[in-house]
Amino acid sequence: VNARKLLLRGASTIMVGLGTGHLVLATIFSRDLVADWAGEGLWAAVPLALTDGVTHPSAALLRNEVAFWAGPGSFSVPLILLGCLVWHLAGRGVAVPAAIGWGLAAWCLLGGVLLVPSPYFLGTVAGALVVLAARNPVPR
Amino acid sequence: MVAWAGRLIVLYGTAHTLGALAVEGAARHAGTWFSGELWGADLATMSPAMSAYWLSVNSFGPPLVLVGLTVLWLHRRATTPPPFIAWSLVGWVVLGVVVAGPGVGQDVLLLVAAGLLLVAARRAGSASVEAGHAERGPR
Repeated sequence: VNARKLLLRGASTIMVGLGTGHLVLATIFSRDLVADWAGEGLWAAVPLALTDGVTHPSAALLRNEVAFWAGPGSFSVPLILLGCLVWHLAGRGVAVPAAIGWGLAAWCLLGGVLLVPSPYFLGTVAGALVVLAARNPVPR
Repeated sequence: MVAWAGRLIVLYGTAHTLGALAVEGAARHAGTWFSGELWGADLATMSPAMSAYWLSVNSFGPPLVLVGLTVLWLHRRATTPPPFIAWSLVGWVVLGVVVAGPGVGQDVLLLVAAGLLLVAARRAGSASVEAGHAERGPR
C-alpha cells in the first residue's frame, strides 16, 4: 500500500468535505437571502458596498453581505479546488510540498480558534496529513 | 505562463485578505475575535465583528493563495496543472460577478490566470500524456 497516497487521499477528502459541507450549510442557513438574490434576478443582488465609514450599517445589509461572504464568496470553492488538486496529484504519485500542508494547518488553526466550536480544526488535520505525506518516502 | 497564472492567483487571494483586513477595518475587530466573542455565536445574528471575520480570515483568500502556490510549485517541477483548476476558477468568478457585481474589475486577474492555465494545458496536451506515462513508468 502506498502510504503517501493514502495520506493525501485522506487530506483531500477532508478538504472537499469541509468545503462542500460549509457551502451547503451556508446556503441552508441563509436560504431566504439566497432566494431573494434569485428573485432579484441575481445580478448584483449583493452590492460590494464597503461598510467602511458607515458606523452603523443596517442589520439587513450586514446579513446580506455575510450570506454572500460566508457562502459562495467563502473559502469553500478554493478549498474544494485545493482538495481536488491534491487528489489529482496523489493519483499521479506526486506529493504536494509540506509548506502547503503547514499553510493549511496554520490557517485552519487560526480560523478554528476564533470560532469555537468549529469543524475548522479538521482542516488542521488535513494540513498535517499533507505534511506527513511529504515526509513519507515513495515506496519503490 | 503557468508561473504568471500562479502569481496572479496568489496576488488575488493575498490582496483580498489583506484588503479586507485593512479596508473593512477587520483588524479593528481583532480584539473581539481573540476574546472569544465569536464562540458559538449565532450565524443569524450577525455582528460587524463576525462579518469582518468571514470577509478576511475565513474568506477564500487563504485557500486560494495555497492553490496559487501549488500551481507555482507545479510549474517549478515542470508539471502542467490540470485544466479543471482553470475551469473551476472561471465558474466561480462568473457566479461571484453575477451575484455581487463586477466590483472594480479585480476578477479579471483570475480570468487571465485561468486563460493562461488553459493555454498551457492545451500546449502541453500531448506532451503531458507522455510525461504521465514516464512518471508512472516501471517501478
